[in-house]
Amino acid sequence: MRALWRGAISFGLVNIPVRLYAATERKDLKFSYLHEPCKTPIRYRKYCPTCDREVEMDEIVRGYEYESGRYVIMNEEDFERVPVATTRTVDIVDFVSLAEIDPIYFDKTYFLEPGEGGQKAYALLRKAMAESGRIALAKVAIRAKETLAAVRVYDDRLLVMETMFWPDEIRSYAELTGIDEEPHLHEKEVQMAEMLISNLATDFQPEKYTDEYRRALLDIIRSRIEGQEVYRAAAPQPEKVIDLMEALRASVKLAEEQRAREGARRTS
Amino acid sequence: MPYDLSSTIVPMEPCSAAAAFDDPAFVFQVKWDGVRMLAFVGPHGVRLQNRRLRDRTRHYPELAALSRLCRGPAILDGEVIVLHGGKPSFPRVLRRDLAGPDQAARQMNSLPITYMVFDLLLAGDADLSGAPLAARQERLREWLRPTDGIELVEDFSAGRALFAAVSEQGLEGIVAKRLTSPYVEGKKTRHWLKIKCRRRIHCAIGGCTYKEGHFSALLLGLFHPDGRFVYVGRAGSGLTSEQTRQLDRYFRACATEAAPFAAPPRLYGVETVWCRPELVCVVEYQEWTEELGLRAPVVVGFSDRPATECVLE
Repeated sequence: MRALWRGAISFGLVNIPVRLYAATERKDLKFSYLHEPCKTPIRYRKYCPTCDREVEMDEIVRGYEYESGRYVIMNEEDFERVPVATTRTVDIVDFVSLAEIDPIYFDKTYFLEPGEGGQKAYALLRKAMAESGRIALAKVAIRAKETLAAVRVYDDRLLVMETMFWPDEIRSYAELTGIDEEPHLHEKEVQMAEMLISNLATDFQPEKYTDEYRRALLDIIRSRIEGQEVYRAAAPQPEKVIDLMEALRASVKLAEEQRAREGARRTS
Repeated sequence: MPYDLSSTIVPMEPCSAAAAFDDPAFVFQVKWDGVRMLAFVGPHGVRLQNRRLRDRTRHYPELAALSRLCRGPAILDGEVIVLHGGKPSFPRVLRRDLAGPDQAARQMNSLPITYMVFDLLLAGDADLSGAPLAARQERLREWLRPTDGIELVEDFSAGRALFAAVSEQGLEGIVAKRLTSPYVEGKKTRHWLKIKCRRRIHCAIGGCTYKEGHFSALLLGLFHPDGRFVYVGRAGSGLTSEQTRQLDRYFRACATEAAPFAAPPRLYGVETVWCRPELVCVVEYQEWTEELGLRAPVVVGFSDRPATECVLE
């Protein structure tokens, strides 16, 4: 596992050096788009329709479309000028109870590992949080963007960080009109539904749930591989250095023979 | 500290010499035009490190085979090349080396490499860096079994004849190595001497520069296999005053608004005139730079070869 970045948890006067790792990964199968006749992976090019040519990375700038077709250009210096105090720090601002935060706020999870010299302070924060039952709310800078995050104890051993959506990023459901009505419910119907729930109620056992769709796709792919129904992207024949070496040896030998002959002529 | 498999080593570098020579105290080798690579070969795996001490292990998975081919733990020094048309192509090896590790690994079939091994710094637990070159080479030949794609660099005793042969083939040059020399990490020493050939290449002309109203240099380009026209450098020297006058007339007639290059160069202190890449010239150059430009190009003539055949490969 590779650390995404090294930074520090800042907590009052204490700074705890940490390394950050992605805690989850998508296992969706990735498919390449191939050109049908030759099975070559399709390549995308950056193209400017005004100049009618392909453009390079260093010709590209970032623009903010403030109204249709009108842009404000933002360059690197502009982004650097934005005051963000939390560069590479997980800046703890509050401690709250986890149950107060609706899961709708959570985005991605990261493992936090103590960096050099941070073991003791890390253990201290972990123990104090576990005993108080509270989790930390923090501001974090990831990729030049400030994010809200929750730091909590995971599996009794590790601190993890959940990045969170800002409150104004949670959409309102006010326009969903279908849920407004409160129809009359019979007592019996409610009881039936509750009974159904209690019949299916169980403890959460994550290993019970698997991705059936991915497994079915992989089965198809495996049977194609076994049946040799595979395609290789057009590739050049591997070349060997031997021909070049033979040509060099031959001309070196020729030159030496010539010199030997000339030398013999001179001494005779 | 003696070398072991966890060492970081700045490779030994040659000094430049002006001309080839013959000397029984030296061996002569082809200077393979590629990227320098140290291989740390352990029983369970191989670690690769380049000249700038960056890790390249994941770029070249084919070199994991070194574990099988070496008699024991080893540190090898050599050059990773990509052959094209029977000769090493620097633009091609750079395309693979500068890709991200995953992409580079996927290019195993489209840009196959050959590792040209020329030195052995560790054999088993014996640090050989203080041993004379002749002893290291003898040990290397016992220690590594070459195979397709992993080759031992051949020694020649005739420096001038090898240089002539290498020039004829259009290769980069030769290296002369003193047989008694130790491996001196990170230094340019006179123990190793490189003698470079001036090489020629056909380039399409995509524009020119004017300095204070006078014609100054040609802007050279080559077509990338994916169709982009790539800027590779500017050449001002080598033109006669008659050629300059003709080129001046040509650019006055053929100048275009848009630059033909995929990434037009930004040149300061000169006025730039663009043209469609139709005219072809032959330039002599010293070597490729790591930014894929021609070092010290000099115009030696013009050619009627079609511009589209001036390809970066």
